[in-house]
Amino acid sequence: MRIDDRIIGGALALLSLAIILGARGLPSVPGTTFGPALMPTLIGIAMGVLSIRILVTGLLQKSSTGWFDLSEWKGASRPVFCALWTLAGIALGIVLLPIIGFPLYGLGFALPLMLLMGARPLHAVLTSVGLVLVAQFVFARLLFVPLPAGPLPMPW
Amino acid sequence: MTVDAFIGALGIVFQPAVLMAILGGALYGLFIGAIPGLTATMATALLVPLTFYMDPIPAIAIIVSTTAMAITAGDIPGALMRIPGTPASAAYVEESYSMTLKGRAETALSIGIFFSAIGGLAGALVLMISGPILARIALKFSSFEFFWLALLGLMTSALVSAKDPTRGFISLLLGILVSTVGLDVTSGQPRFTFGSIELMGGISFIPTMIGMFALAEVLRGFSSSASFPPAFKTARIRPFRGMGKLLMRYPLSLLRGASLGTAIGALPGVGGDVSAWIAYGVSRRFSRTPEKFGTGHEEGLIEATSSNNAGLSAAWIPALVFGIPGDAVTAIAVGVLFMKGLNPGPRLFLENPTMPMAIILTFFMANLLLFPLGWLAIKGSRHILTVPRSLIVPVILICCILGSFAINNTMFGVGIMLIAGIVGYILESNGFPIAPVILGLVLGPILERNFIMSMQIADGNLLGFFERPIAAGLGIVVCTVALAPLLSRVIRQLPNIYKK
Repeated sequence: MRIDDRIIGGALALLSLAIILGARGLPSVPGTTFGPALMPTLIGIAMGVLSIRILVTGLLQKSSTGWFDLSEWKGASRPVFCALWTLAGIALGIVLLPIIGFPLYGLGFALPLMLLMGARPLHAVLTSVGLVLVAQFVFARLLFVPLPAGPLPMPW
Repeated sequence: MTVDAFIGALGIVFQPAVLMAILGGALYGLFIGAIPGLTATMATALLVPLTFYMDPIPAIAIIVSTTAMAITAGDIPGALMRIPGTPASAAYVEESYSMTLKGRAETALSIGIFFSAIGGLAGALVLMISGPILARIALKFSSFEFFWLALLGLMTSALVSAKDPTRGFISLLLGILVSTVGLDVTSGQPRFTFGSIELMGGISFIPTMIGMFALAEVLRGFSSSASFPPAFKTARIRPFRGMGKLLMRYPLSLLRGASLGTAIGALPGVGGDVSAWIAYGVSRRFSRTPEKFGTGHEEGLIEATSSNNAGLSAAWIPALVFGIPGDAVTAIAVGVLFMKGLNPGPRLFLENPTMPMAIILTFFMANLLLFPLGWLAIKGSRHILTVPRSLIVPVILICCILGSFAINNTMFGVGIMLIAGIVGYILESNGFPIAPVILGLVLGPILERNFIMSMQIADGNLLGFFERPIAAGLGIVVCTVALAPLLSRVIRQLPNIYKK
């Protein structure tokens, strides 16, 4: 996804302004001249200068593909669905995983993605079930990572 | 170090318990390092309860071999799936992954393991011979020198990883900006936390690194611009084939990488992560074929990977000689040493020289084990590239989710990984390198702490940054590196100006 340099330069300039303004709101430490605001202010200034350079480059070389170039996502719809499933699946996982547990979430996320990407149903089922069981065992049992188990009973 | 101490140390190390600890640690490190998202630090931390029941030398031996193997094995998912194991291996992940895309995964993995082992052995040798001397020099470093060194590493990463230095520096600034989130390093005040308790702890580099490299790569893999690594070209894999030729062709790269890694790795708190970046930058600067860098070229990979493991050994210099840990792993190891009654420091070298010598010898053993275990790892990893993409991508994503979750055992890390993945994809699609973001995030607090401290010492006078001899030397190098793009442009245009 290509974005025109004019948009990137402008966005970065706004970000640098926000950083500088945000840094100005940080409280100073009594008795010291150089407080928590110094570093963000310097970052904001440097980013501001560089963003102007990108903005000027963008203005001088007007893009022939428009403000946004989404050509790599045009054509087949399956890759778009795969990307959307990936992003939505991870985002939903942030909310759902602690409730339904890793085994159910892992299965519900990986199996449809495998099928969406064109895996054979039997391969997809076997791999996703094996993946969930191995991952749960390795992380929860061997590495002591407290993965939420959810309602599905695990053999360990 | 006397010959008696060396012979005594040999007797200690060649005990079955120590040898078993080294082998066990190496196998465990290989397993952890090869899983994307799991780090050598996590592997070491998990070992601590086990060390309660072990004698001092086996306890340290298992930590040493686990770390050496985990960090080297971290290069395997880096080369095959573009998921670097450590911030240091992010320096050369593009190079090794480019080799894999060209169908040279076997060579990329072989270079990673073979030259890591050689670099690690070189680092261990230096640790044995000149450990105390290097540690004394490292202790002379004040905040001024650490500031310049951190800045040098950051600038090198920005310059070497992008065609356009402006975009490289913006990536770097974004990384440093993210590192400012959380409690301020000097005053402890919350900064850019927006009232979130999770953000007060800062943004960890592990989920950021997983998101920016792995998730962004998965997203790009779905698009039509994707290119996929082909399977190994030959049916019969011969790990380390051609390494002798590379060793003969690039001896200077190996020596320079190992020397840089040792010298920089010995600096507490900075070394490990910076050395590979500087080594990669130096290699490109002095290469006869700098245009090949980033396209799957062996030279930079050799220098950076040997520097990585040499730095790993050297990080133990300040830990053993002065009891000052250089990184998280040595911090854990120093804790274990204290727990075992072996208080690290100069007195340990004077009163019980056999013990530090035995610890150093375990480095040799661990790095030598990299050859056979690395050989097996390369043999096994060929199967990864033959698995259909429709099955491997969901497996990678589940590893990414679990690796991000395991950092703090909360879903906050997964959220960070998701955002980092989207940002990483957008940045890379628009020519912004993502590696400097990671190094900026890792070194940002070190840079800021030393900068603020130096400003307070110098009372705001910037000339104070050049008053100490080593600081002045480093400062001049940093200024030269910063002005390099401008100077090279002027030099390139000089003939045209003369013609006119």
